Amino acid sequence: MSTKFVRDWRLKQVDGDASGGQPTFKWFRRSRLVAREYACLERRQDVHSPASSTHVLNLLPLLWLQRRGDLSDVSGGVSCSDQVMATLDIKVAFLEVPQHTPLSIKLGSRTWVVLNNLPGQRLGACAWYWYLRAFLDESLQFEFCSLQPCLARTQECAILIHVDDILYVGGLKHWDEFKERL
Amino acid sequence: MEDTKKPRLMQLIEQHASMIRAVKFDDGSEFHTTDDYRQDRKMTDHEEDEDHWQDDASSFSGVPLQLWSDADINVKLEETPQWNDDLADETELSRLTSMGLLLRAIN
Repeated sequence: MSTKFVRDWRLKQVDGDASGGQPTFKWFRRSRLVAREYACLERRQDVHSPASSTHVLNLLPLLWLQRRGDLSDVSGGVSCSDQVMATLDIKVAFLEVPQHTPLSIKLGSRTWVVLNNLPGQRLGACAWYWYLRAFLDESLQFEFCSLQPCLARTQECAILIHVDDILYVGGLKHWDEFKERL
Repeated sequence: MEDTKKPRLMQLIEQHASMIRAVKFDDGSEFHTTDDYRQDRKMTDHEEDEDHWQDDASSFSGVPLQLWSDADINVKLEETPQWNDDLADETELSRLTSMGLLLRAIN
């Protein structure tokens, strides 16, 4: 594996349009350090990661509707809005994962140690899945479904993981805590 | 009901019935959906226009002003001076270092 800088000009919004005005865009020269690995050079079986599928996507919305319906029936002071269905996107997820083996790179005259995974590493998705799963399992006591490894639950909620996106169904108070912990 | 409307009504009923599919669960419960299960949903059709780096406004705070260009936004920039690329690379190294992803080796 080697690394390289990928550079491009990107159009970026430089001010908001909260006041109803037109947003302003400018060109920005961006460079990103990425890993370079060639799939054709080595066949690997350790880079695959579980993914959600069409059929599973409907489970959590169904669960949410069911819970809201149950609450309506037995309300007892609990409002339907206590049950939420929400999504969460984890930014720079792959870059949070520590390198499996220490990696040293030379850029110009300087040597760097790469501590976490870089974009482009073939094991990125798989490593991220197991990193996130271990955190959810050990820190938040999630139980993962053995048939669909992207589904997990606690007593308070159920989640569906699609790479770095999470669909959540559960109590509103627990949702706030869940977001905070992630 | 008018006889002329009946065939059309029957046709609509059949059409709607064919759109509703039953999904059975292990516990015997049954739900109905209008989702079509004949092909998998495309989970990657949003990626073509997506910025994979997920830069947000905070990504640009504190970056050197020289990395911004006032050129016409309708024309894709082609030529970039080497100093500009070098500066972009250094900015990236600073970003990764501050994230704790990179560490400068002393020896």
